[in-house]
Amino acid sequence: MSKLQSEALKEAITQIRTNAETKKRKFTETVELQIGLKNYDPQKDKRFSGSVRLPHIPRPKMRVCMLGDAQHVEEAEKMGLAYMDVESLKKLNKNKKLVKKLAKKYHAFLASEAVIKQIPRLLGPGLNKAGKFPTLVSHQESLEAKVNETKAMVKFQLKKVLCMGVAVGNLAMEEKQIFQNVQLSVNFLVSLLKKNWQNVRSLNLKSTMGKQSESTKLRHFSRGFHVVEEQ
Amino acid sequence: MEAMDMDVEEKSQSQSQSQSQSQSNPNSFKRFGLKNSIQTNFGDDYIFQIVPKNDWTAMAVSLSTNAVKLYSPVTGQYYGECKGHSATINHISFSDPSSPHVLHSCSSDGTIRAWDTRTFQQVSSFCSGSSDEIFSFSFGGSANNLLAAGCNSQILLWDWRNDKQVACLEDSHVEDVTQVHFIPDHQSKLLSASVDGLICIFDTNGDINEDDHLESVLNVGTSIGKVGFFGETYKKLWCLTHIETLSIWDWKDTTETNFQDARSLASDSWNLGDVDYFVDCHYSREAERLWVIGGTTTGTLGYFPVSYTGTRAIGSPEAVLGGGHTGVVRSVLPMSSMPGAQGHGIFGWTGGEDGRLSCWLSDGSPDTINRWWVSSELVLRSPKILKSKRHSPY
Repeated sequence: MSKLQSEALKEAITQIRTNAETKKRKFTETVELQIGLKNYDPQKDKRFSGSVRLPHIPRPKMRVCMLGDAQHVEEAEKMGLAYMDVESLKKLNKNKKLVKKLAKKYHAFLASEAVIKQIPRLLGPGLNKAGKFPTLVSHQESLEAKVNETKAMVKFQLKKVLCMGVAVGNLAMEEKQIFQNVQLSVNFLVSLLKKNWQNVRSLNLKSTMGKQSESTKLRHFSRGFHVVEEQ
Repeated sequence: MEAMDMDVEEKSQSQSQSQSQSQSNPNSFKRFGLKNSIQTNFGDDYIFQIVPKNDWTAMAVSLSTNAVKLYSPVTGQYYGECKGHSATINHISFSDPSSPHVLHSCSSDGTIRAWDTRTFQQVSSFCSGSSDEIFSFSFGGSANNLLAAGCNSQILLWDWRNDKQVACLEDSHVEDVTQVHFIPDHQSKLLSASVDGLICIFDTNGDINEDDHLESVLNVGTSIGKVGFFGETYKKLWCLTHIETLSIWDWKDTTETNFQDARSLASDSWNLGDVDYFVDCHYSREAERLWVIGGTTTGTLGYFPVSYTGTRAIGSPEAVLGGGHTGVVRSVLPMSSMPGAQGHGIFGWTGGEDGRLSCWLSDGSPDTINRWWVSSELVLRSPKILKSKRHSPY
């Protein structure tokens, strides 16, 4: 049912790749999906914000730390995943600087059920303030799968302006993986808009260092780029 | 006591009714009749929220015109308008049982205002102190003296008796605080929910500070729109998100049942098209059941029963409100205590982005819109039952 044309998307990804290869950077460029809306009023329409889980991890270098009970600590150690137990959390002694330092060291945290309940008491609001309060991981689910799930989550939020960007991949990924991430993100975001595709003004795909003018238009209503209206 | 017996009787009646219906009709849900429809404005303005006065003699309706209009919930008669906010009204409520005529409203203009709904005049106002947008507010505290508000990413607390700010909690959330609620039956506890995906619970006794008063945190993981308490002792919590997911929590032991796929579960349970969004949840204390109210972009609503203990499920709708709206529905005001209790007067009011206020009858005949005198007779015939329900509308 997608109105996003596969051919246009494939072309866009290849083009971004080619552009990036003409000038190699010393880091892995991120691929960002930019979406522009129309017929949407931030004053009165529902908020457009949330998190979406992508099929492929867009940020593989994300550092995750397990705040675990004995069993999870053992599992984390076997996997080579960073971890802390309750004893070491207690040593932080609710010290704001130390909690802040811990929050800075990692991109995300996971916590066992027995530990997550104690976090406010042990650490205060420090992890909340960093926007990194842990995600619960139970003993019924695989820790490795949970780590990957956490790494595959991306946030989006429309503020006062009618456009926003979502980091959906990077140039070290296979084209097919980028393709699947973009496709899922676009379809998911469009499904949340009340007029669906009629609320989409433009869709662009851009790499970190790619020039704005070179950013590849997947869809642009006013000029009718790569658009085939189904239905 | 009498009222309770009646409710039980009614429930069993309605159950047998719906059973007999399901035998004859493959769509076993109840379609509700539309009594009347009121256009609240003549532009493209939306209805955001409908709230009842405690004695149900009036209902307040917030609009995207930055005004609140008052109507009779029984006849739909227009009473008047409260004007003054200079930006979007984010939440309204008749909160204070000691002054039942006073309506409070909060807005992106940075104020919480109190209105006398007899004169439609503003009687007082709280300022966030800067240009902070106020998204939510709640009255409570163990001495019933606190007013809490979600202002941008902060939670502000005032002692409303002397207008003094008693606390500013600024570390617990990093994005807009969309909800604050003092927990019913636990008046010292304050719950907040935010676009950052966290629900925080604070103890507001004593000198409030974040380091010692943040009791627990529930990580919903995605931007939170609306939450509500339910169940015996209100220890359960439903949570609707801006990506249209539903989760059910026990806020005391922080356990969760998650419906990531709520929209597709609901869509699959009827044949009236995709459920595009959720408006609210509805809980019946008598039946101990929870419904999630889902809608289509064309304005049809369904009450979908939610099973959260044991097998996780969203069932076929037990009530359908169709034909009353042409756009997204933003608010539902239930007048009976449960959607199954048909046959007695008004089921409730709905309002939405088409600016229309629709009144629904529990009487299910499809042509009620043309027979509204018959319908209003039904309302008058059962004042006793309506009244008994008004004491505990939720």
